[in-house]
Amino acid sequence: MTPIALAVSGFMAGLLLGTNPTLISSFTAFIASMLGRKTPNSRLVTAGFLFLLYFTLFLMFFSVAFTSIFISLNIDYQQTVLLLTAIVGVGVGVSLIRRYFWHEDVIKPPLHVRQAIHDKTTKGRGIINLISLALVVAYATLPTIGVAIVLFSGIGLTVGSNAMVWSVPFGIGLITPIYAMLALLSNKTKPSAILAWKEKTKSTMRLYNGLTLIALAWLLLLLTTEMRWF
Amino acid sequence: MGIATSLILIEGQTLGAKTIASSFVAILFILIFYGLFRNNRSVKAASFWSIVGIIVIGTLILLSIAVESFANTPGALL
Repeated sequence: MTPIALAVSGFMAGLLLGTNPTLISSFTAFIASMLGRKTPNSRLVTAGFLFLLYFTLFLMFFSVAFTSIFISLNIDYQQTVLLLTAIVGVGVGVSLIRRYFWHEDVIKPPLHVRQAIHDKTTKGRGIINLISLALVVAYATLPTIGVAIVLFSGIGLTVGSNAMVWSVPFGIGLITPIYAMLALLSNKTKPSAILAWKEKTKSTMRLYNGLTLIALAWLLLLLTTEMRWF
Repeated sequence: MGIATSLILIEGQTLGAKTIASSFVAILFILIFYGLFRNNRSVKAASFWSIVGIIVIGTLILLSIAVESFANTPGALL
Protein backbone atom coordinates (compact mmCIF):
# COMPACT_ATOMS: atom_id res chain seq x y z
CA MET A 1 0.00 0.00 0.00
CA THR A 2 1.42 3.36 -1.02
CA PRO A 3 1.26 6.42 1.30
CA ILE A 4 -1.23 8.10 -1.09
CA ALA A 5 -3.51 5.05 -0.95
CA LEU A 6 -3.21 5.18 2.84
CA ALA A 7 -4.16 8.88 2.89
CA VAL A 8 -7.19 8.26 0.61
CA SER A 9 -8.23 5.28 2.77
CA GLY A 10 -7.91 7.52 5.85
CA PHE A 11 -10.19 10.16 4.34
CA MET A 12 -12.79 7.64 3.16
CA ALA A 13 -12.82 5.82 6.51
CA GLY A 14 -13.10 9.18 8.32
CA LEU A 15 -16.02 10.20 6.13
CA LEU A 16 -17.87 6.92 6.74
CA LEU A 17 -17.18 6.94 10.49
CA GLY A 18 -18.04 10.66 10.76
CA THR A 19 -21.64 9.88 9.83
CA ASN A 20 -22.03 8.70 13.39
CA PRO A 21 -25.48 9.17 15.00
CA THR A 22 -24.04 9.89 18.45
CA LEU A 23 -21.61 12.44 17.11
CA ILE A 24 -24.30 14.18 15.04
CA SER A 25 -26.90 14.25 17.84
CA SER A 26 -24.38 15.47 20.48
CA PHE A 27 -23.16 18.25 18.21
CA THR A 28 -26.72 19.25 17.18
CA ALA A 29 -27.80 19.30 20.87
CA PHE A 30 -24.80 21.53 21.70
CA ILE A 31 -25.65 24.02 18.94
CA ALA A 32 -29.39 23.81 19.76
CA SER A 33 -28.65 24.71 23.40
CA MET A 34 -26.91 27.88 22.20
CA LEU A 35 -29.75 28.65 19.78
CA GLY A 36 -32.17 28.30 22.72
CA ARG A 37 -30.21 30.97 24.62
CA LYS A 38 -30.44 33.34 21.62
CA THR A 39 -26.67 33.19 21.02
CA PRO A 40 -25.64 35.39 18.05
CA ASN A 41 -24.90 33.45 14.86
CA SER A 42 -21.24 34.54 14.74
CA ARG A 43 -20.61 33.22 18.28
CA LEU A 44 -22.41 30.00 17.48
CA VAL A 45 -20.27 29.41 14.38
CA THR A 46 -17.08 30.27 16.32
CA ALA A 47 -18.00 27.77 19.07
CA GLY A 48 -18.76 25.13 16.42
CA PHE A 49 -15.42 25.71 14.68
CA LEU A 50 -13.57 25.59 18.02
CA PHE A 51 -15.17 22.24 18.74
CA LEU A 52 -14.19 20.93 15.30
CA LEU A 53 -10.62 22.22 15.73
CA TYR A 54 -10.15 20.63 19.16
CA PHE A 55 -11.76 17.39 18.01
CA THR A 56 -9.35 17.16 15.05
CA LEU A 57 -6.34 18.03 17.22
CA PHE A 58 -7.32 15.36 19.78
CA LEU A 59 -7.62 12.82 16.98
CA MET A 60 -4.20 13.71 15.59
CA PHE A 61 -2.66 13.61 19.06
CA PHE A 62 -4.04 10.13 19.77
CA SER A 63 -3.05 8.94 16.28
CA VAL A 64 0.57 10.04 16.76
CA ALA A 65 0.60 8.67 20.33
CA PHE A 66 -0.68 5.22 19.32
CA THR A 67 1.71 5.02 16.37
CA SER A 68 4.64 5.94 18.65
CA ILE A 69 3.58 3.25 21.14
CA PHE A 70 3.34 0.66 18.34
CA ILE A 71 6.79 1.58 17.00
CA SER A 72 8.39 1.40 20.45
CA LEU A 73 7.21 -2.20 21.02
CA ASN A 74 9.39 -5.12 20.00
CA ILE A 75 8.33 -7.41 17.12
CA ASP A 76 6.58 -10.03 19.28
CA TYR A 77 4.42 -7.45 21.06
CA GLN A 78 3.73 -5.63 17.78
CA GLN A 79 2.46 -8.84 16.17
CA THR A 80 0.34 -9.76 19.20
CA VAL A 81 -1.15 -6.26 19.51
CA LEU A 82 -1.92 -6.14 15.78
CA LEU A 83 -3.80 -9.46 15.96
CA LEU A 84 -5.72 -8.38 19.09
CA THR A 85 -6.55 -4.99 17.57
CA ALA A 86 -7.94 -6.64 14.44
CA ILE A 87 -10.07 -9.05 16.52
CA VAL A 88 -11.43 -6.16 18.65
CA GLY A 89 -12.14 -4.18 15.45
CA VAL A 90 -14.14 -7.09 13.99
CA GLY A 91 -16.04 -7.49 17.30
CA VAL A 92 -17.00 -3.81 17.45
CA GLY A 93 -17.93 -3.91 13.76
CA VAL A 94 -20.29 -6.87 14.31
CA SER A 95 -21.93 -5.13 17.31
CA LEU A 96 -22.52 -2.03 15.16
CA ILE A 97 -23.99 -4.13 12.32
CA ARG A 98 -26.35 -5.71 14.89
CA ARG A 99 -27.75 -2.21 15.56
CA TYR A 100 -28.75 -2.04 11.88
CA PHE A 101 -31.10 -4.99 12.40
CA TRP A 102 -32.18 -4.30 16.01
CA HIS A 103 -32.15 -0.76 17.39
CA GLU A 104 -31.86 -1.60 21.11
CA ASP A 105 -28.54 -1.20 22.93
CA VAL A 106 -26.94 -4.31 24.41
CA ILE A 107 -25.99 -2.28 27.51
CA LYS A 108 -28.09 0.81 28.26
CA PRO A 109 -27.32 3.19 31.18
CA PRO A 110 -30.26 3.88 33.58
CA LEU A 111 -32.62 6.73 32.66
CA HIS A 112 -31.42 9.07 35.46
CA VAL A 113 -27.78 8.68 34.31
CA ARG A 114 -28.74 9.45 30.70
CA GLN A 115 -30.81 12.46 31.85
CA ALA A 116 -27.88 13.78 33.96
CA ILE A 117 -25.50 13.45 30.99
CA HIS A 118 -28.00 15.20 28.72
CA ASP A 119 -28.40 18.08 31.23
CA LYS A 120 -24.63 18.50 31.60
CA THR A 121 -24.21 18.64 27.82
CA THR A 122 -27.05 20.98 27.01
CA LYS A 123 -27.79 23.12 30.11
CA GLY A 124 -24.25 24.06 31.21
CA ARG A 125 -22.73 27.35 30.13
CA GLY A 126 -19.44 28.39 28.53
CA ILE A 127 -16.37 26.19 28.80
CA ILE A 128 -18.07 23.63 31.13
CA ASN A 129 -20.63 22.99 28.40
CA LEU A 130 -17.87 22.47 25.82
CA ILE A 131 -15.82 20.16 28.12
CA SER A 132 -18.95 18.10 28.95
CA LEU A 133 -19.72 17.79 25.25
CA ALA A 134 -16.14 16.73 24.45
CA LEU A 135 -16.27 14.05 27.21
CA VAL A 136 -19.65 12.73 26.06
CA VAL A 137 -18.51 12.62 22.43
CA ALA A 138 -15.23 10.92 23.41
CA TYR A 139 -17.11 8.29 25.47
CA ALA A 140 -19.83 7.70 22.88
CA THR A 141 -17.54 7.51 19.86
CA LEU A 142 -14.61 5.67 21.46
CA PRO A 143 -15.78 2.21 20.34
CA THR A 144 -15.89 3.31 16.70
CA ILE A 145 -13.42 6.16 16.23
CA GLY A 146 -11.01 5.00 18.96
CA VAL A 147 -10.84 1.50 17.48
CA ALA A 148 -10.41 2.97 13.98
CA ILE A 149 -7.45 5.07 15.21
CA VAL A 150 -5.78 1.99 16.73
CA LEU A 151 -6.45 -0.01 13.53
CA PHE A 152 -4.98 2.78 11.39
CA SER A 153 -1.94 3.00 13.69
CA GLY A 154 -1.35 -0.68 12.95
CA ILE A 155 -1.91 -0.18 9.21
CA GLY A 156 0.49 2.81 9.27
CA LEU A 157 3.06 0.62 11.01
CA THR A 158 2.80 -2.10 8.36
CA VAL A 159 3.02 0.47 5.53
CA GLY A 160 5.89 2.25 7.29
CA SER A 161 4.35 5.70 6.97
CA ASN A 162 4.32 8.67 9.31
CA ALA A 163 1.08 8.96 11.37
CA MET A 164 0.39 12.36 9.78
CA VAL A 165 -0.08 10.69 6.36
CA TRP A 166 -3.34 9.08 7.47
CA SER A 167 -4.38 11.01 10.60
CA VAL A 168 -4.83 14.40 8.86
CA PRO A 169 -7.09 13.03 6.05
CA PHE A 170 -8.87 10.84 8.62
CA GLY A 171 -9.58 13.89 10.83
CA ILE A 172 -10.75 15.98 7.86
CA GLY A 173 -13.04 13.17 6.68
CA LEU A 174 -14.41 12.70 10.20
CA ILE A 175 -15.38 16.34 10.74
CA THR A 176 -16.87 16.81 7.25
CA PRO A 177 -20.40 15.59 8.22
CA ILE A 178 -20.31 17.66 11.45
CA TYR A 179 -19.15 20.68 9.47
CA ALA A 180 -22.17 20.15 7.17
CA MET A 181 -24.41 20.12 10.29
CA LEU A 182 -22.82 23.37 11.49
CA ALA A 183 -23.37 24.97 8.07
CA LEU A 184 -27.03 23.90 8.08
CA LEU A 185 -27.66 25.07 11.65
CA SER A 186 -26.00 28.45 11.13
CA ASN A 187 -28.21 28.92 8.06
CA LYS A 188 -31.41 28.64 10.12
CA THR A 189 -32.12 24.94 9.54
CA LYS A 190 -34.10 23.70 12.55
CA PRO A 191 -32.19 21.27 14.86
CA SER A 192 -35.37 19.17 15.04
CA ALA A 193 -35.18 18.60 11.26
CA ILE A 194 -31.56 17.36 11.55
CA LEU A 195 -32.44 15.15 14.53
CA ALA A 196 -35.44 13.72 12.67
CA TRP A 197 -33.17 12.87 9.70
CA LYS A 198 -30.64 11.34 12.10
CA GLU A 199 -33.36 9.18 13.74
CA LYS A 200 -34.47 7.98 10.31
CA THR A 201 -30.98 7.07 9.09
CA LYS A 202 -29.11 6.10 12.28
CA SER A 203 -29.32 2.34 11.73
CA THR A 204 -27.86 2.74 8.21
CA MET A 205 -25.08 4.96 9.61
CA ARG A 206 -24.23 2.21 12.12
CA LEU A 207 -24.14 -0.35 9.32
CA TYR A 208 -21.60 1.77 7.40
CA ASN A 209 -19.57 2.30 10.58
CA GLY A 210 -19.52 -1.43 11.28
CA LEU A 211 -18.56 -2.41 7.74
CA THR A 212 -15.81 0.26 7.72
CA LEU A 213 -14.31 -1.13 10.93
CA ILE A 214 -14.39 -4.68 9.59
CA ALA A 215 -12.78 -3.52 6.32
CA LEU A 216 -10.02 -1.76 8.30
CA ALA A 217 -9.44 -4.81 10.53
CA TRP A 218 -9.18 -7.10 7.49
CA LEU A 219 -6.91 -4.62 5.71
CA LEU A 220 -4.66 -4.65 8.78
CA LEU A 221 -4.50 -8.44 8.77
CA LEU A 222 -3.82 -8.46 5.02
CA LEU A 223 -1.03 -5.88 5.29
CA THR A 224 0.69 -7.75 8.12
CA THR A 225 1.37 -10.55 5.63
CA GLU A 226 3.18 -8.07 3.35
CA MET A 227 5.33 -6.61 6.12
CA ARG A 228 8.95 -7.64 6.52
CA TRP A 229 9.29 -8.26 10.27
CA PHE A 230 13.08 -8.08 10.37
CA MET B 1 13.98 -20.75 2.36
CA GLY B 2 13.76 -17.09 1.37
CA ILE B 3 12.08 -17.97 -1.95
CA ALA B 4 9.64 -20.31 -0.15
CA THR B 5 8.74 -17.54 2.33
CA SER B 6 8.20 -15.08 -0.52
CA LEU B 7 5.93 -17.57 -2.32
CA ILE B 8 3.90 -18.16 0.86
CA LEU B 9 3.56 -14.39 1.34
CA ILE B 10 2.45 -13.81 -2.27
CA GLU B 11 0.03 -16.74 -2.10
CA GLY B 12 -1.30 -15.48 1.25
CA GLN B 13 -1.76 -11.96 -0.08
CA THR B 14 -3.77 -13.21 -3.08
CA LEU B 15 -5.94 -15.41 -0.90
CA GLY B 16 -6.43 -12.57 1.60
CA ALA B 17 -7.44 -10.06 -1.09
CA LYS B 18 -9.84 -12.60 -2.61
CA THR B 19 -11.34 -13.31 0.81
CA ILE B 20 -11.96 -9.62 1.50
CA ALA B 21 -13.47 -8.94 -1.94
CA SER B 22 -15.74 -12.01 -1.99
CA SER B 23 -16.89 -11.49 1.62
CA PHE B 24 -17.93 -7.89 0.95
CA VAL B 25 -19.77 -8.92 -2.24
CA ALA B 26 -21.60 -11.65 -0.28
CA ILE B 27 -22.50 -9.15 2.49
CA LEU B 28 -23.81 -6.76 -0.18
CA PHE B 29 -26.05 -9.50 -1.65
CA ILE B 30 -27.40 -10.33 1.81
CA LEU B 31 -28.15 -6.65 2.49
CA ILE B 32 -29.99 -6.35 -0.84
CA PHE B 33 -31.97 -9.50 0.01
CA TYR B 34 -32.76 -8.08 3.46
CA GLY B 35 -33.83 -4.78 1.88
CA LEU B 36 -36.32 -6.62 -0.31
CA PHE B 37 -37.85 -8.75 2.48
CA ARG B 38 -37.17 -6.65 5.58
CA ASN B 39 -40.68 -6.98 7.05
CA ASN B 40 -40.22 -10.69 7.68
CA ARG B 41 -38.78 -11.30 11.19
CA SER B 42 -37.07 -14.56 10.27
CA VAL B 43 -35.36 -12.90 7.28
CA LYS B 44 -33.97 -10.27 9.67
CA ALA B 45 -32.37 -12.88 11.97
CA ALA B 46 -31.20 -15.02 9.04
CA SER B 47 -29.58 -12.01 7.32
CA PHE B 48 -27.77 -10.90 10.45
CA TRP B 49 -26.42 -14.35 11.29
CA SER B 50 -25.38 -14.91 7.64
CA ILE B 51 -23.37 -11.68 7.76
CA VAL B 52 -21.82 -12.71 11.10
CA GLY B 53 -20.92 -16.10 9.59
CA ILE B 54 -19.23 -14.48 6.58
CA ILE B 55 -17.33 -12.09 8.84
CA VAL B 56 -16.18 -14.88 11.18
CA ILE B 57 -15.01 -17.10 8.28
CA GLY B 58 -13.24 -14.16 6.58
CA THR B 59 -11.55 -13.18 9.83
CA LEU B 60 -10.38 -16.73 10.49
CA ILE B 61 -8.89 -17.02 6.98
CA LEU B 62 -7.09 -13.68 7.30
CA LEU B 63 -5.93 -14.49 10.84
CA SER B 64 -4.47 -17.80 9.69
CA ILE B 65 -2.61 -16.05 6.83
CA ALA B 66 -1.31 -13.38 9.24
CA VAL B 67 -0.17 -15.94 11.83
CA GLU B 68 1.50 -17.97 9.08
CA SER B 69 3.48 -14.91 7.99
CA PHE B 70 4.40 -14.20 11.64
CA ALA B 71 5.64 -17.77 11.98
CA ASN B 72 8.14 -17.09 9.20
CA THR B 73 9.61 -14.13 11.10
CA PRO B 74 13.15 -14.94 12.24
CA GLY B 75 13.39 -14.79 16.01
CA ALA B 76 9.66 -14.17 16.64
CA LEU B 77 7.80 -16.11 19.34
CA LEU B 78 4.53 -16.67 17.45
